[in-house]
Amino acid sequence: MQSTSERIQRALRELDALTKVVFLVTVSLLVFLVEGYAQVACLFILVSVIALLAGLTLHSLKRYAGYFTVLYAVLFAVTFYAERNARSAASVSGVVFLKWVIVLIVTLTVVFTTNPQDLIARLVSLRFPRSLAFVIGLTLRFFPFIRNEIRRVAMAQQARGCDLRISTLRLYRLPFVMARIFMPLMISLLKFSDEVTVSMASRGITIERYTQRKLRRLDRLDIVILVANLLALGAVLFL
Amino acid sequence: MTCPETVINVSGLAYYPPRTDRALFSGVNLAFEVGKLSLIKGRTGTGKSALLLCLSGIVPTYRGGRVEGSIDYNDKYVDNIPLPIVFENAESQILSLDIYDELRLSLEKPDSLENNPLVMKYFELTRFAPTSVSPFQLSDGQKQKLVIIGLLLRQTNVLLLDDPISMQDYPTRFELGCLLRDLKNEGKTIIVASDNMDVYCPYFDSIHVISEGGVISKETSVNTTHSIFVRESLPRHPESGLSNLEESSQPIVECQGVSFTYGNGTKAVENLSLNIQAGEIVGIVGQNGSGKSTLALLLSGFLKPSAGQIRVNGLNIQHLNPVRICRNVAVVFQNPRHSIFMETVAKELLFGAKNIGRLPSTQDVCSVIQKYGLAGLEEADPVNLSLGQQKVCCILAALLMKPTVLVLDEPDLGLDEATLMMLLSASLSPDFGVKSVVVISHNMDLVRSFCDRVLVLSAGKVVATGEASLVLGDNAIMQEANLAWPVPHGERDAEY
Repeated sequence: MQSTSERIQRALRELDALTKVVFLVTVSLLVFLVEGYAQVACLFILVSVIALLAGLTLHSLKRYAGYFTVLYAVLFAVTFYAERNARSAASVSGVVFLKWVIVLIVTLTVVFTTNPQDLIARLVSLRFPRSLAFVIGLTLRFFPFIRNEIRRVAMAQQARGCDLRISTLRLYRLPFVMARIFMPLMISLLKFSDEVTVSMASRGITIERYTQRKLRRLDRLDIVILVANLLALGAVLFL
Repeated sequence: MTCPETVINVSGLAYYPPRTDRALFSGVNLAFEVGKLSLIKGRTGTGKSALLLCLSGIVPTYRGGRVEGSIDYNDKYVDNIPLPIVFENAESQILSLDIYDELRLSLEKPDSLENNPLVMKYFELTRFAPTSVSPFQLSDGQKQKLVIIGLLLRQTNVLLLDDPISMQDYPTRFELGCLLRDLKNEGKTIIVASDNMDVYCPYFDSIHVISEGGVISKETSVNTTHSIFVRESLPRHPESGLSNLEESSQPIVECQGVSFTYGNGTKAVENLSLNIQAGEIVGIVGQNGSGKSTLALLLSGFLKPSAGQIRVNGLNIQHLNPVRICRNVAVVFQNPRHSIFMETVAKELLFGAKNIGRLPSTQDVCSVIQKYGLAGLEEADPVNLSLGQQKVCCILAALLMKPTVLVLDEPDLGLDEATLMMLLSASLSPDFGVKSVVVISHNMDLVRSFCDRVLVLSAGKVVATGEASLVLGDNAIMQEANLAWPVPHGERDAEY
């Protein structure tokens, strides 16, 4: 006999994939449009209730409390630098932080309650080109892989005596720790994409101009684009 | 008498990997006949996989490097290059999120999948039962079969397999053997690159052994039917911590009523109790998904038991920080690619030891590099090494951390038996001070030869424990754990 909460969970999980995507897009738009603290708080409560009803335990988010604290601290520092007023900075950074958390919760809810297979089947049934649906499927295929790879690389690091626990992590060490995980992860992802490319080719899915991994030096144009991107990112953060 | 037709003719083949001037192999001459099952075997780093990739056409087109010499394909049997190839980890070759979508990719008319006689034929031939679950939820053996069916649907006559059994458990290995035989009977030409297929040697039509520099010799199956672990035993050094079994009151590893349940409710380990004495080498065997790797993660402190506790050297592992855990337990994971962090082999070997404050002298590192098969590769980037050489790096890096307990998860993955034998001997050497070794493996010959005691797991529970040769020789136990070779040893030849 199913309890009411189980029935609600099941009903939410069985919702059409497209409905869930529309919900995700709508909430994301609303997050951009609403400004006031009260409105954002209402939206936060709404998505939290939906996430709980969908069976997404927010308990796991507790593990990332350290990262959330760092994110809030960075937001506060940036807004304080712009506003020169602690109260106002706390309020503005609080709203931005809450908006970010809302998008995170709603994305996690949709991702964990939607079978990518159903989503692709729905897209195909709506006469979405099969080749594009295949590409979306291939992209979605990467997510579980990346998640597992991050876990494996982090475990391999710890097996060599690197302390990656959030509780002992000092802020200044964060970039070094991330770089240590990022590099093996990138190598693993390149290897994976290489195998996918070869698999596609050996299955007769031919690509006229395939890509190849090459070691390249940054030239002047690369540096200009890199600096321009950093400036644009800085401008977005400050404005 | 007519000369058998060849599908692939290789003459004077040499391969130079990207960014090197040294040929991995050169002057290779080979011929593969129609409808035959061929094996390319050789030690770690000799270029078996690279040769297979050259044959498939993936190298140099997709992977770079330079190829000299010629590979001639018989147009009658080979339609397209690259030739279909199955990698050791078949999962990376699955492209879709649905089994039928995966198979549709190989068909010219993708809508004609249901009741397609070819699809039905290959389902039957491979004994593959399609389900509605995602391909990623299939077992490793089923994933491999799915990839093989997908490739066969291209109406190919040639199939290449790169080390297909290293990640598979015993029953899956047997099924793969049967599948290769059936495909050969169908007239397919199959080329396998592996050094762990010795048990199948009598069933290969030709065995090509590649040695350092690319010298190819043909071998008969007679002297290769038994694993090196059956032919030779590992000597224990008298000064090693593993020389004598110490029946002390305090075991070096104590697991009391350990259980572990994953977030999705899967009970991986249930009420497991295990004591390992100093000087003991313990093997853990079981089917895929029986909880072996979870137990390794529990022993090395990566997972917290849902119930029970684990003590190493008398210390509760849950209360130790990663540095202190690594000083006591070093674990070498199945796939070495996740454990490569530094830019040179020498730095890679020192990485772990440096983190835990047990930095060996430069002389020690040099001698380890020279002694254990990495000579000349000190300054090489470990990322560019073969899977086997990366595995050697990982095992040596773990040994240089001088742990009390060494946990080896599938140590034979990517390694030839002789290199593995050398590394296992290293773990017994007094230089590294290891007191106990835990080996998790599907290789029964390895466990039988190397381990004092074996623990047989099935669905997270201990089915049997005891002296390795006795337990692994007990057919009732092996059947209960679903590890029995499906055909009795004497009848194996007849079955094939």
